[in-house]
Amino acid sequence: RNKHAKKYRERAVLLISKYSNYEDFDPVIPYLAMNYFDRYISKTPILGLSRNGIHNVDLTALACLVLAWKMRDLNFKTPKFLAERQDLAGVSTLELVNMEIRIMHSLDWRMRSVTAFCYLPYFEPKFHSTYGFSRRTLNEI
Amino acid sequence: MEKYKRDGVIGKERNSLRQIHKYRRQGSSGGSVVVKRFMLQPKLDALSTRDEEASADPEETGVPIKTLRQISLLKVMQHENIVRLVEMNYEDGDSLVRLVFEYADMDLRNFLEEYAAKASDQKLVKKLLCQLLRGVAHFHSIGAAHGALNPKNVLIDIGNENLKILNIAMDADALYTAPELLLGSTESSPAADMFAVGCIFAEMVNRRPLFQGKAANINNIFNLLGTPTEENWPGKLSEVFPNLEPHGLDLISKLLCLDPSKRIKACAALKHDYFKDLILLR
Repeated sequence: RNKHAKKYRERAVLLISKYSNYEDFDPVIPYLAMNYFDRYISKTPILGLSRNGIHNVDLTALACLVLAWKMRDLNFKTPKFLAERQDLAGVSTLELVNMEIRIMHSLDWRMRSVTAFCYLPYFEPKFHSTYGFSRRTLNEI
Repeated sequence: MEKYKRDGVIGKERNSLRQIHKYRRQGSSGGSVVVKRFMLQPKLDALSTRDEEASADPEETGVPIKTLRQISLLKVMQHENIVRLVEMNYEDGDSLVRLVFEYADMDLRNFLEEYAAKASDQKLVKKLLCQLLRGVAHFHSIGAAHGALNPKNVLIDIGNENLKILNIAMDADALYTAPELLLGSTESSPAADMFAVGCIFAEMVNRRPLFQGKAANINNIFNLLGTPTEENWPGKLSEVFPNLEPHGLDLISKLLCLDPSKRIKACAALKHDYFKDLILLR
């Protein structure tokens, strides 16, 4: 089971980084999405490795990304998100919606996760005074 | 929902005609709860033009962003002066979630009306205001704002004089809305919450709403606070609150500050001299 979780995670990292990368994207989104994904699969050791199983990993990762995006961007629209990514044309909106709700259930609506980014506002002034890091460097972190 | 019995209306939902009801728990445990429903996905059938779905954005699919944010916020809210989320129930094949909150004995409006003698005790006013500010400070400390503070969603337990803030996207009451919002800004903000706290404080002191009249009360606000310069405000405020001690007057003028960027913050208000002689038994 552990081995599977590792595979799932690798797949999710790949998908989430691929589909979150977009002009002006908020770097917190993929981290938040991975946080949801990790918590979800730790509670739901899902998905056999059937053909459908692989598909479910993708769907889970995608739903986590959508949820993370919604938490960070008030103007996020799922149809627009899907339309802007050609290779997601095959994703069924209904399936995605059901997956979103399943994840919310499983995570008990605790979506305001603590990520490393939460501490940035605290450390940023210290970095600036001591090391002279630029805002861009911090964004890349 | 068999456990609960409907027991009066407490308000209307924001952007919809749905009413929010209060329920009384059946059986020995007693106590009241408030129930709020959230749609998790737009219904696909013909009924979907009804009430809450009417305001839904057709472009938005899946869990609505506002619902997502609101519920996840409620989940992390744990404060003695904020109403507790008791349980969540799913319905309709998970397309609808029902949130149950504890309710206190009554809201502040009823308290001021029904317990006039008790409510006129200025020490109690101070104690309640301090609790209100603590709850509001908790909202602001986690980067959120309440957005619709008014005496209907500030709840009081009579026995122990505890105050709790109810936070369920209810319609904001224009009489407690900060001037910058009346003038067109739409974002609710911590500063706007502080203005509402000022109005509520004033209402507790005088046992009647500070601003009265119909919806757009910007004129009333300007009549009381407007045009005059810094120096002559306190003069006018002290006419409105003849019974309030000078520290209270100073605090209220800082809460009702017209400029949101200069308005006092919740954590600063808690350290105000007005609370210097307040001893809270905890």
